Amino acid sequence: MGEAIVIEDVRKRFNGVEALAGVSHVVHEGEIHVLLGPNGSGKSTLMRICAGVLVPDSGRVLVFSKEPYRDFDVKFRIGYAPQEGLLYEDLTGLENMYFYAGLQGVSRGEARRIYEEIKDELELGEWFEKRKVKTYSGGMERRASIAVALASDPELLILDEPTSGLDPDGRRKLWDFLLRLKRKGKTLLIATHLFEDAEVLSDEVVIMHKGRIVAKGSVDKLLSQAGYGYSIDVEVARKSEELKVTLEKIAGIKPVEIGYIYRFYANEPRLVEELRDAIERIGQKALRLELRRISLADVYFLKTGVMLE
Amino acid sequence: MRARAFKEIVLKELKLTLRKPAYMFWNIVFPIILLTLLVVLFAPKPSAPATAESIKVVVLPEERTPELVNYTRVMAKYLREKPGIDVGLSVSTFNGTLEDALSCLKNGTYDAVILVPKDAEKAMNKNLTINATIYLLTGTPKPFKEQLTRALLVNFYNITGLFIAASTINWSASALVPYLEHAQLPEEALETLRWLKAGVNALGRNVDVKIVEVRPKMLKKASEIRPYVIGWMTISVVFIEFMFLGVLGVAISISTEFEKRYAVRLLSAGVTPEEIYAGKIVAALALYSIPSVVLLLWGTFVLGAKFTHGLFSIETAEILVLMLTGTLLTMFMGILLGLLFRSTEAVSIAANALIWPTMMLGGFWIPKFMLPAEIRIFAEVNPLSVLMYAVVEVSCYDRTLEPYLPAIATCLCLTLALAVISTILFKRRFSKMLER
Repeated sequence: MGEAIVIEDVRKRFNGVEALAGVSHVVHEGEIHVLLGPNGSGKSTLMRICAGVLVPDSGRVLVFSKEPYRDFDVKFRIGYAPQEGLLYEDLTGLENMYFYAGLQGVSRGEARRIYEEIKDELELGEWFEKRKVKTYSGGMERRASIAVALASDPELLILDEPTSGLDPDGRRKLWDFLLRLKRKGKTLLIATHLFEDAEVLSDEVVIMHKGRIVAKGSVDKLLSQAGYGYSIDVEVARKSEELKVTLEKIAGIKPVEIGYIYRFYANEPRLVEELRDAIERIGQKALRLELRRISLADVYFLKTGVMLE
Repeated sequence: MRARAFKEIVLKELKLTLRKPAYMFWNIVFPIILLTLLVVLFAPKPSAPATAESIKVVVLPEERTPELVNYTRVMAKYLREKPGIDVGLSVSTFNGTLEDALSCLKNGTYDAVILVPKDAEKAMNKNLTINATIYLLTGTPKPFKEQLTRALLVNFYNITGLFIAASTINWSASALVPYLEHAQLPEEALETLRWLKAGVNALGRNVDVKIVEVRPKMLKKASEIRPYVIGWMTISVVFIEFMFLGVLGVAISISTEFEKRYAVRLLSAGVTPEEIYAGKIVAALALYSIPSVVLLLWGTFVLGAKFTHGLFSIETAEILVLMLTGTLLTMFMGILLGLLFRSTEAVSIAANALIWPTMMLGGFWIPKFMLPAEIRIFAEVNPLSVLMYAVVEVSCYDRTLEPYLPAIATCLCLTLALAVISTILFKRRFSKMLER
């Protein structure tokens, strides 16, 4: 499989603030790679460089072996849906689609064919054809934005936070749609701060923090590299130093405090029983004691020290 | 620059603007209403007789010597008593300075000021030359009155000059002939003397001409003046549109582009900032032309405006160049405003603060000659007023652009400078927007 995107030591600063601090990565054709991180982690900047909107200060990005910010022809093979949508509010979704198709050298007839192909899958109803974008709900706008990115039937789709603003049902339908695109051979680079998106969609997850890639690999690989198999949440009604010290002694590690929750990472599920006994021994009661398999959120925390929920 | 991307951007801009009800109202409906109201309220009524015009002329000496004052008084008397075209000509001597007289002229109190130079009497005594400087009010919405004043005064001086010369010849030759008759002259000279006598007898009585009043064709009726005044009003409203559409409309369009950051997505589709910029400019030019053409058609075919030159004349080409300059000038002013202010609201306030005083003080709404002298200075130097009045002079008064050429050259330079500054600022603002 060829390389769709090659990112080589890319750096970018905005007004003295380092947005990307030497990022390298490769996305192979036909794969979905998910950039995972909170706002400000550098995902959107990296995506904009890949889409040819921004030029890196140093390093380079190759999309289908061309630098998209210098070679305009390669942009015709890219569909980019930015986080804010940025569709013309006084045009309908379909007019936006025709407009972007035209810019990328695709005829109106061909754009119409693409629209007919995706309209049911993306649930683009009459509203997409007849209503102006400014009347759309958040979910409609996200779907319209993705449809417009597909207007030229690109080989590479760069989607920035595609599921934000969608209800749970809408998110699932969009996941299915994106996976179908992958099956059709398209390459997708997706930025998200939602772990579920990454778990469902990604062939490879790229965890970003403060402009750097702190970990990457398949979900399974990242989970196995975490060093722990489980996370245990102990929610208490009242925090005390005595309780904390007791739990720490039992678990052998310091817990992570999230409000009234003490979170422990462990490899043995039986630790949960030991913690329950210890709490009872000191005369306290756990409101909730939950054992979970370790997730991407935990991996993100373990890699960055930042808790994203 | 790719033609297809460029075309798509232009079409998109047109679509976005033309489907806005506000555009249709402010740029099509409102100017039509405005022009119609101006014509109904202020254009001369077809029934009004044109010969009812009264022409006010003052004569003043350059120096207040008793001889020159007397000479001036006599000249005013001759001018006043001169039989001629049937108009209400009022002639008086002016007791103030030339500066005062010219100030009154600019205010519209007089139609012409005649300055009798200090050596006028000497020139008359020396070689029968009449010296005078005529200051004529021009650029008014009554070009025919201006033409009449000019014709009347020029005619007066020509006739008077001829009369004085003829009278002098008559007097001197009459005195000389008796002496010559008694002188010993050769035979060939006697024949010449016979002719001299006949000529002297005939001089002064040699006019046998019927006076036929011939007025300039367009002066016959006010109904023939009216179409040109409507033409003048039409051009005024077109320039008012330039201000609204160009300065305000373009400024808001540019500001919105940056505020909404549409360009981020455009760049990803292979469009360059240059294509976006050029597309906006061309679309704006197309959007300018729509109300201009509608207004010209409305003014011509509905309200009855007339222009002095045909569609395919050199003068029409000159007018088009002037209007294009006005378009570009207002457009780059708009682009500059759109780039200088961060929010659309701020841009709107700034643009309104610029266009209303410019229109009110620049002779767009009120004719230049009706403005107070202090304000008229602004209308004389304001580049857009210069362009507008140059178009009016050529298209309605059938004059040449010559007096306006330096001011037009300045307008072109200003437009070019604004274009360069706007382009540089656009690029800078574009880069900053991407980094937001």
